[in-house]
Amino acid sequence: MAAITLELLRHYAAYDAWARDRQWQVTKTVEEGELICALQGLDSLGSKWAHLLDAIDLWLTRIGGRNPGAMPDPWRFATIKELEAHKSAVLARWEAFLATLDDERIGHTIEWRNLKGEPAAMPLGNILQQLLWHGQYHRGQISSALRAIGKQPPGTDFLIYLRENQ
Amino acid sequence: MSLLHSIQRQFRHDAWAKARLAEAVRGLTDAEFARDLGPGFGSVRAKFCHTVDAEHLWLQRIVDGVSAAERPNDNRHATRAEFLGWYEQVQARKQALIAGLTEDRLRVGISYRNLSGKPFTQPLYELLQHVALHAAYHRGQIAACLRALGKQPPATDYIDWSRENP
Repeated sequence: MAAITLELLRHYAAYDAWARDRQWQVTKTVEEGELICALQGLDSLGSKWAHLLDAIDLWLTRIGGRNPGAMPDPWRFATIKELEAHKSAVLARWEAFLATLDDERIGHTIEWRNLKGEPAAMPLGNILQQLLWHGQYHRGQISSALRAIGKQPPGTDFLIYLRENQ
Repeated sequence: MSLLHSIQRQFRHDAWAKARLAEAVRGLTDAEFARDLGPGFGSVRAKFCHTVDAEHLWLQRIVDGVSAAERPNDNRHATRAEFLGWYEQVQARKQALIAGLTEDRLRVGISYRNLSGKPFTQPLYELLQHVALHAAYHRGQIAACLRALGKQPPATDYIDWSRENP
């Protein structure tokens, strides 16, 4: 059984999409050199975005029954245009997947092999909670990266989301 | 899976993740803990203290019915020991709130005023979602601060905890 309700998962997923879009609106205004500018402790703004999207892609691939042996290089996107194309492709898959969820499905056990090839298994709902929480953790880092390159990060608090969407 | 169980589980993960970060703080010197790491970062002290102060602010609003008009200074703790004492105190109060929740209580409206004095009423579970998401966002920033200090931040992913706590 999943350790989270479908109602909560949907709520978090909607918030996640809203917050990601708010950060993207600021991210896309940075100069291209700033996207791959190395920031101590944070890698770079571009690599944080790539990691966030690659994690979604990795899990969708595992849920689909395939097990990649490595994560792609998070530094591979040199321009906003390249990163945006990747973002659109991953999020289209993600949103299509979210639309298929129901109570029964989130309780199904997903089996996969981690990046070291070790077997693992967990209910789908727990995996989705991991992904949404992972997104929130890195949202904090993207915000720090934006501030470090002189941009004002947008407010992405859950309470702001609720006020704008209720 | 109920809303109550989902929320309580989120806070069990949150407590575990915070305890791991507190352990990392114990491994720093007081000077590292307080070191200003530059724009976008602040310090481990400021980020961790902000996270704990936010929880305290919500405990006051939810449990005590008191809406503070301002937040304390994030840099007020001179030492790690002083901060960790505050951290333990707030965590104990938060655990008591989470342990005493019921399904009905989660849906009760909580009235409070924000820092500008504006009144709001929202169901308790939404406020608790906000508290958990806010903590996850700042965990990412504390991890970036630790990395900027040359330390390896602890793994705090939900999936790492969930593997041991199915």
